[in-house]
Amino acid sequence: MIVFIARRLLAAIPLLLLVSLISYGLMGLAPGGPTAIFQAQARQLSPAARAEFIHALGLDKPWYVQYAYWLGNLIFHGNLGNSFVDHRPVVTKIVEKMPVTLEMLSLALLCTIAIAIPIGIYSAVRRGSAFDYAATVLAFASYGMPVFWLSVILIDAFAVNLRLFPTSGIASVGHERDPLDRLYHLVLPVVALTIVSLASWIRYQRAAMLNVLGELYLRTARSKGLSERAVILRHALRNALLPTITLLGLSLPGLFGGAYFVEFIFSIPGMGFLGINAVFQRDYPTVMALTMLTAVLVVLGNLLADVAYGLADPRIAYD
Amino acid sequence: MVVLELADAGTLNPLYSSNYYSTVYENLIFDGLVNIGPNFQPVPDLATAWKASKDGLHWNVELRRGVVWSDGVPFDSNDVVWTFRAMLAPDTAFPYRGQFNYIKSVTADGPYRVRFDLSQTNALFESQALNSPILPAHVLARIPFKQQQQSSFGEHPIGTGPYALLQWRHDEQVTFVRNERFWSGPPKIRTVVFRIVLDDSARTDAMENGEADVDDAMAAASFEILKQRHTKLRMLHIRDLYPEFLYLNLTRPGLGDRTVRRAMMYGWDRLQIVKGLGRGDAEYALGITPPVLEHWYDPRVRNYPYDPALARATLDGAGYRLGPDGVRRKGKVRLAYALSFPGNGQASSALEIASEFQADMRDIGVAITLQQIDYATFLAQTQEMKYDVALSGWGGVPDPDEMTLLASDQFPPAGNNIMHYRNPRMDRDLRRGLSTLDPAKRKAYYDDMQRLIAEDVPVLYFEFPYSRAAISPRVHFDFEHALPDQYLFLNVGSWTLQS
Repeated sequence: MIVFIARRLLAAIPLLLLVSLISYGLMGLAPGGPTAIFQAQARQLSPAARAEFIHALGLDKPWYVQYAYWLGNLIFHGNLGNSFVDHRPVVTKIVEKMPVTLEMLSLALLCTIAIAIPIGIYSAVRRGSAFDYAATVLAFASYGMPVFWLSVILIDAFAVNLRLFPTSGIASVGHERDPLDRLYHLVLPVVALTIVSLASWIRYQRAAMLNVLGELYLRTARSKGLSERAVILRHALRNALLPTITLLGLSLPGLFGGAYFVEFIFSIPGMGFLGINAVFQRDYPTVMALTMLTAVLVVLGNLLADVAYGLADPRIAYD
Repeated sequence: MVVLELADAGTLNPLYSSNYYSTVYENLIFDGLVNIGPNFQPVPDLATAWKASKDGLHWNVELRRGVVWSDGVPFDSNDVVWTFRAMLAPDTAFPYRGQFNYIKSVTADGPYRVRFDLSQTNALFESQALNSPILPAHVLARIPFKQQQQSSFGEHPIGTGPYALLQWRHDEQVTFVRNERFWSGPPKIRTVVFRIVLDDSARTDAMENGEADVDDAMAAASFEILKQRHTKLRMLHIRDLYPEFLYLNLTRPGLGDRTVRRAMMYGWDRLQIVKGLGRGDAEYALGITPPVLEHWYDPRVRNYPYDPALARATLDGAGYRLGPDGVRRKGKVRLAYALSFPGNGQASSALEIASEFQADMRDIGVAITLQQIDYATFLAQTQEMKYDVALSGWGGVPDPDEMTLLASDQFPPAGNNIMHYRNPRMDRDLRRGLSTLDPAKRKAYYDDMQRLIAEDVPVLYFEFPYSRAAISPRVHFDFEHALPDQYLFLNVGSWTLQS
């Protein structure tokens, strides 16, 4: 197992390098340079001064030269650089924003699992029933729904029209330390994230359950005279949950991707918010650090899925 | 006192101020040698007096005595000399260094006098150079210029201003506490908290239920709604310095023709933009010199009242005939252009202005296509002259000088003349205006500049949006002389708050 993990991690290195190269190249090709240093300036910055400043930051060099500097700095000094916006280390900036994002994403993940798994299982057990069809339709609808669109609809319906929830932000003015107020602000974003990720979980769980339901050991269990409830919950469920564990790791990157949209639309000052603003301002160091973080999450998520699968299912061995 | 803002500052190190909000907060923390007074005239700050030699090339500045930094260390001429040397040293990479390249040397003449030697006279010396925030040499001088940018000073600033930074939670709130040692006496309001609240309805709610005291960035629509609700809030419309206009790429066929540009002015209902669109919160522009600079502003210029018939007749007369597609052409020149404007999705007012312009131009046979792009792309496009018409603005400084916008040696990348506008008389006016110190003599050059702008129409000017602020009834200050934008909190030391 350890050998397997080590091998996978080693294989991830060239992959991450490639991701960083492509991201840096794409960023370099995007029109316009960093605007953070002169956006919304109170005093106008002449283009000549801007050019000089860009030279001082080394941004007038071709993107691949900048990339080499960036990579060298990362590998030899373990340094992801400083933001162009406020010159603070990007790592500090990201760590500062992490708790909000993690809070929101874990809530969304918990809600998704709590809703999707029972629905998936019930759909499979009652395959072909009205419930199953309804769940399938629901799943496809949620699958096709872009999270940014859904977020706007939710804001319009529940915040603007019904005034049940705040339209944005993570805290009310004057209640920055109140955990309940925070939760209240997180309701709509979490609902949005949950709805769009329900689909894959429901479908996945339903398929896994259907697979298991055809197994001979269930017939054995039934013929022992066990109640249907015991057959499903004790024998089928445990096995049907196995494939779903995989999904946990695989869904991480998607969740973080969704966080970008949701945080921006709801103005939640998390990593996604930081990321979107960094893109608009062409704050390359911050964009790169966040891209790399996401890439690492994808790699780790996949690895986690495989490892978890192996641990849960004794039939799977890694060598 | 709680103030609502739309975004956080980047750094609080004035050498690297990265945005508007940096400047707002720096005004609380730091002092300049001179401050911007009512009517935008320079008034004493850390300097008590300043005087130029006859030729305007040497300035003696007398410093205020008994001033201490917020950490208790006394302020003296060393601080001033170090600050200007840091600004002027290329290693520091101070972005505005180019604006001060006429400053040859800065030397201390005893602890309370500083001498500036200039290589040429510059009318902006007082309002711009002497207004620069002064930094503490005892904290910063041990850091080489090259490493200033990496210092943590921007997170832990020390100044002589009325307030000191207490706590900074990035993208959430910044708390300032009054500087008990402030040279003109401790401010009356103990703490000033800036909260970042992006959502407009959350802001209006906070203002209405008294959770916040000042909102100086409220959207026009919410501002109007609050006004109509007759809350106890004081709603201030503050005349502003910043003009909005349409840049024209004069190298494009058609736009290079002054007759076409004048016709576009006649054919564009600019009053509708200013008064209409449910806003009514801007001043109508007769040029790009702000009317609020009353000493400089000259309304006696060619005017372009909305007159689409005259616009059409002008174009007909110049040989631009209406084609079968409703677009005018003359030979190979077809009056069809793209209007670029920046917006990351939320700039609805820019879109409204652009759409109105498009409709008005269609009426006179000029085809406009709209192109909304993100700000970085917008900047690249305009700087590289890859645009036809662009909605933006330029300026916002309390001086009529427009050198970098209009002079013919300021084509990009040197300056911001992204129109490629060229008029020798304009060049002469701008040059003389900048090097003349006597305000009466200066005024003649800027009167002529304003006349030329109205004659040549290098940009399609239309408005000076008001700066808006909603103020709770608890807060009191000299509302009559409220300054716009980043200057609003300039004199916050004298504001009062009723409990």
